[in-house]
Amino acid sequence: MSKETFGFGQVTDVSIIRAASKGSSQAQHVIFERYKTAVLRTLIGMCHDRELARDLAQEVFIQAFRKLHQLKNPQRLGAWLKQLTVRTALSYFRSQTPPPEPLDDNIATLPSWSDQVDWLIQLRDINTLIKQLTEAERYSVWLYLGEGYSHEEIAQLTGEAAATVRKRYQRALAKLQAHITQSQEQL
Amino acid sequence: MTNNERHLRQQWQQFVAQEAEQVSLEFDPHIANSAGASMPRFHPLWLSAAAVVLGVGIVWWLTDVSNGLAPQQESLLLADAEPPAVPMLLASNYTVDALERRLQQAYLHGATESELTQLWAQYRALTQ
Repeated sequence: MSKETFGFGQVTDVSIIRAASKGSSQAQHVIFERYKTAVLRTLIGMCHDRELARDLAQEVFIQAFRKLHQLKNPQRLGAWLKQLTVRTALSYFRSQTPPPEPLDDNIATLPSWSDQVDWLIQLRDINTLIKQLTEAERYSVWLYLGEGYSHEEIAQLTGEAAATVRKRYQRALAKLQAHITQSQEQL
Repeated sequence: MTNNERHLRQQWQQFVAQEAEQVSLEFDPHIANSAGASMPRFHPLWLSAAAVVLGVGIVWWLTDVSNGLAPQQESLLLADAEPPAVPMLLASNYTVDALERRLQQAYLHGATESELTQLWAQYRALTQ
């Protein structure tokens, strides 16, 4: 992980982690309260669905307390939890039937987002904009921009080639730009 | 990272933060329970020792019961030949084990039909 976002970077006392790994409900409660916002934000970014994010967050903490004894370095609890959160969401996405995703064909027809300057400054409705993305596009962009993962790290998490992840990211941004341009033309 | 990417990140993170504030996520003790169910547990040694003691106790008890039901040696029977001096109303006499012994001795010593009927009635009252 190249960058830490606020929330997962918090430090938790080793004794609390040990107690939680031994099943102490109070210690688990402390960890839950400390990281729940970070877990929720990551999941909302990836899912764009509050209810789904809440369900997955519960699953993340169940998995976390179940596997906490496997954590070798307690100082890495936040990073470990972040990775568990991302993996839980990706696992959920994999369990759903994904729609066929075009990769290379359409990207040539979209405008080159990087050539134009500050088109996103005119953005008014981020919610509608995010909805333009497919599931894979959305979590790829969020993991890169919102969570600070590199394309290589995302590829490792999704089990894809880094080039595929990078192309998907570029296509996603081009799609967003096309949407904004189209919206402005309609005004 | 371009300005567009920075701007998108900023907008998206703000949106996500606002969305997260609207989600109520409370700690559910069920989380701890379900997590603990599959967590490997390390049992203290004294529990193993207690299990051994319990096992020995059960074997001893079973042996004792089977001995009580099995035909006994003549010398032992003679020693018990006298009628029981302990009053029947004592609680200790109303255990299944004691009644089984008394029934066995009653048959061996030719107890009357009414004595046997009375003992069997007590036995059934305890075992039903």
